[in-house]
Amino acid sequence: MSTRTDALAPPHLEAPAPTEGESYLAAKGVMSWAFSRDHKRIGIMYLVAILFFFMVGGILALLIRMELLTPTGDLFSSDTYNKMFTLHGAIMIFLFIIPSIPAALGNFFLPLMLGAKDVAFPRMNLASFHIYVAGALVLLYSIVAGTMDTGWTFYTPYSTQTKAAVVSATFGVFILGFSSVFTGINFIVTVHRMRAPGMTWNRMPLFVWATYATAVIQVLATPVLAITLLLLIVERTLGIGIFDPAMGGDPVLYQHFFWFYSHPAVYIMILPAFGIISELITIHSRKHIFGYKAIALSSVAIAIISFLVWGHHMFVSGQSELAAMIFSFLTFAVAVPTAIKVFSWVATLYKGSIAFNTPMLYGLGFIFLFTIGGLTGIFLGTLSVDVHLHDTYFVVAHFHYVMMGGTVIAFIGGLHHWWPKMTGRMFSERWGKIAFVLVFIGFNLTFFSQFILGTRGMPRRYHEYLPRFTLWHVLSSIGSQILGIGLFIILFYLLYSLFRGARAPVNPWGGVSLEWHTATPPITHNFAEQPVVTHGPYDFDEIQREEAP
Amino acid sequence: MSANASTTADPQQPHVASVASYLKIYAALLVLTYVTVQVSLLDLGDPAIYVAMAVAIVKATLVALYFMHLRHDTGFNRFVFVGSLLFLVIFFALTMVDLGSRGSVQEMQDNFVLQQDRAATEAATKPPVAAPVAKPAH
Amino acid sequence: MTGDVTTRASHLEHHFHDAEQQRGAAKLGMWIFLATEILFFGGLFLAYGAMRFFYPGTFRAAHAFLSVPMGGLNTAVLITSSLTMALAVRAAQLSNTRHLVRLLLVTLLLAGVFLVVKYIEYSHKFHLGLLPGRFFTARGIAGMPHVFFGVYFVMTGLHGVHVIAGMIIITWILLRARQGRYHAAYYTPVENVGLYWHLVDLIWIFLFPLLYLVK
Repeated sequence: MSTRTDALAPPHLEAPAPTEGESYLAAKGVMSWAFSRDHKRIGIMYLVAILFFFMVGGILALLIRMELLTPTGDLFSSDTYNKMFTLHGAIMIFLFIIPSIPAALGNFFLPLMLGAKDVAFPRMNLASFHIYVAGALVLLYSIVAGTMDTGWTFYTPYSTQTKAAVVSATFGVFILGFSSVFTGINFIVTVHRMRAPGMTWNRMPLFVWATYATAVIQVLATPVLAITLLLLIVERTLGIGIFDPAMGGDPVLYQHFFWFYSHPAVYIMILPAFGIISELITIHSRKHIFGYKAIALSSVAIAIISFLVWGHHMFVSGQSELAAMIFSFLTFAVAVPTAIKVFSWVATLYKGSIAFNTPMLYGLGFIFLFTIGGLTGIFLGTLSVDVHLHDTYFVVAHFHYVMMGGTVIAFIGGLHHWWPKMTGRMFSERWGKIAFVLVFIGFNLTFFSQFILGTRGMPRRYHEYLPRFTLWHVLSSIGSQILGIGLFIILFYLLYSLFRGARAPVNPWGGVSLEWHTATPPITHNFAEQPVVTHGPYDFDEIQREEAP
Repeated sequence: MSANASTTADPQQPHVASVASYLKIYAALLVLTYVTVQVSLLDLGDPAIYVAMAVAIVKATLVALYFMHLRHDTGFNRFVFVGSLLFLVIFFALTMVDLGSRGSVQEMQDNFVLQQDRAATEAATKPPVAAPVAKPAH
Repeated sequence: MTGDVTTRASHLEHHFHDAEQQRGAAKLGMWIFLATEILFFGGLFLAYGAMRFFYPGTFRAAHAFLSVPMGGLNTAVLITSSLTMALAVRAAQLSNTRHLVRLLLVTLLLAGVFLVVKYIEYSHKFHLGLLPGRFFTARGIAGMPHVFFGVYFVMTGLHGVHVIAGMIIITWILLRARQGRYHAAYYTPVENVGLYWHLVDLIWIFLFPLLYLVK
């Protein structure tokens, strides 16, 4: 277990008095959690919820992959299969990945990193969580009510005419949107108004910049999803005729509405992940981040540009060719700030003192996997190429590489990185490495095979396929099992660590940002004394120079 | 109510506008409403919607600046308001580009004929010409 | 610790240093919320724009069935309620509880008038069969009138829902104002409710010409 001791803690921050004030975990009882306004408790509640839904969505995925072991539909009827991939998508996107990093890790660490006592609006934060639970219940009710088989994208006219439970499902997602918006409002105001004295914008950790940019997207994009779903419900119930051609509407108009949110939504998923990677790479290579300003501003640039490219999901839907060309051109633009980040991380690693511990392995894995995912996004953004690859498994592989190989890998890395701080326990480093290897191999086997399937013509959302695709489907399904085993191992050793893990020191990794300079786990009010910031969050060199004799 | 216009130098005290100033804005809003109704009765044709929107924008600006106190507020609150409108414009603009240009490129493509085919057709149906007429590919 | 407990005002929350930080945060939060409402209604305006683009003839024919006098009256009513709301905030700034309560009451009443006029308009349409979408039964309008009325009812209906929500929060503020909770040092909730109410007015400022006036 490679941990760093507090000996490297910067001398000019007061050593915290760990016993002053109770740990945030002290108060007992369900009510003290369910109605807590403490951002840390809310973060933990979100964490438990999203991990639960990740498991549900993951089991659905394993079942899907099991069906796809053979070319014929043996396990499920085509109707059931449609419902399964719809549920897998809707649960993974709306109940797991959109809230994941911001609501769980962001909620916990944003105020700590800023040196604040809580977010700006703690009651709204609690409301956000309660709304999330309510939305989840409505969405899950729709399963009982007949489920939806439209795909998570609810495209019209099928969604306006199918007998499935579209209204309850979309209403559930509508409710969930408010949870996301409230989180976004809270984070923006917190960053603007509650930074510790001395914490200028350029001294904020990059995770905060990333979360801030994400919050901007959440606030601007989610309302459009809300109106889209509302109009879909109205179209279904009243038959207005804006989306359904049978009643005079335009189904492509629905897609414009839907993707205006859903494209920025994927940046809601990945931007916080970028923020985590910045933290992991710099701390675990003990080197000041390369290009702090570039990374910080690129997060904001990505947030803005993300609103300009939604039409690249509609290249073959019937959009005008002129619009398609414009969107394709703009799509290339978003790669630039993203690439700046990747180059900066690699430059940070150069001549760093790299510790190959579990969080760093996930950080390095992210750079590899996200690069593949991101580049294949550019292939798909190229209009002429997308005509052939759209709705094939190539697309499925692309978004799993960025969402899972990107966001989920970063999330797991961040979870390990901050696990000691949140729980006061260290996890088993040995099992951490074993699980990482299984996850990495399993993931690549599962999804790289799908790139190949896609280029050879295998369409997505089909539960039967031509026999010539069998080999790659089998490999993909085997990979999914390995991936699943790896993920379950993570769950087990993390849970185990809660009961038997070694007590964590205040600062196991030698971090310099403010969350590492308060008790582990933090006290309820975060800091015993209001911290005053005099240096940046990655000034390791400065510290080491001070430590020199 | 006393017309108490406090323009104190104290930055902590927010600006309190006079009743008269609010009434002036109110009057302007009513007048503009009347104007926009009257203008709509004239048959302007296509520009009618732009005129109506221009008046609406003026009214909205008055409400935002004076009733909502943006005039004397921090710049960032103004930025939030204007910024949201910017993204709305993006949504409108790119969607309308699509809706408005359906069929324009396709029309060209329907008339598109490969250069070789065109030459072959011409050779078969017309007396031979000295050189094929060079036409752009599309 | 930040501030002696005995000198912290009762309305100051524990995680803020001072009243100014709390007030600034609350106001910024409200403006960001208003931004979300702008994007939310904006989508509806785009749906209106798209349908108008597809069916200009229908929109020209159908909008004649909307009553300009009633719409104009409602516009004046909402603008007046915006005035009284702004004056109510001013009264709170000057610690004038009596005027604050009265102005809030007038605002509430004007909102009620708006809804009554709306109700009259809606009943008239129901009577004629000018209903949204598949419920449209009227005769005599060329094109796709059910689309126009669908858009009309969704836009004005959603706006109406926001008026009702506004009336609820104004009532809440009114009750608390009567308890003397708002004064020059603390009137943020009144200000923020005011901002919300002005936004409701703003949306109507655009709805009115687009639905009632433009051919």
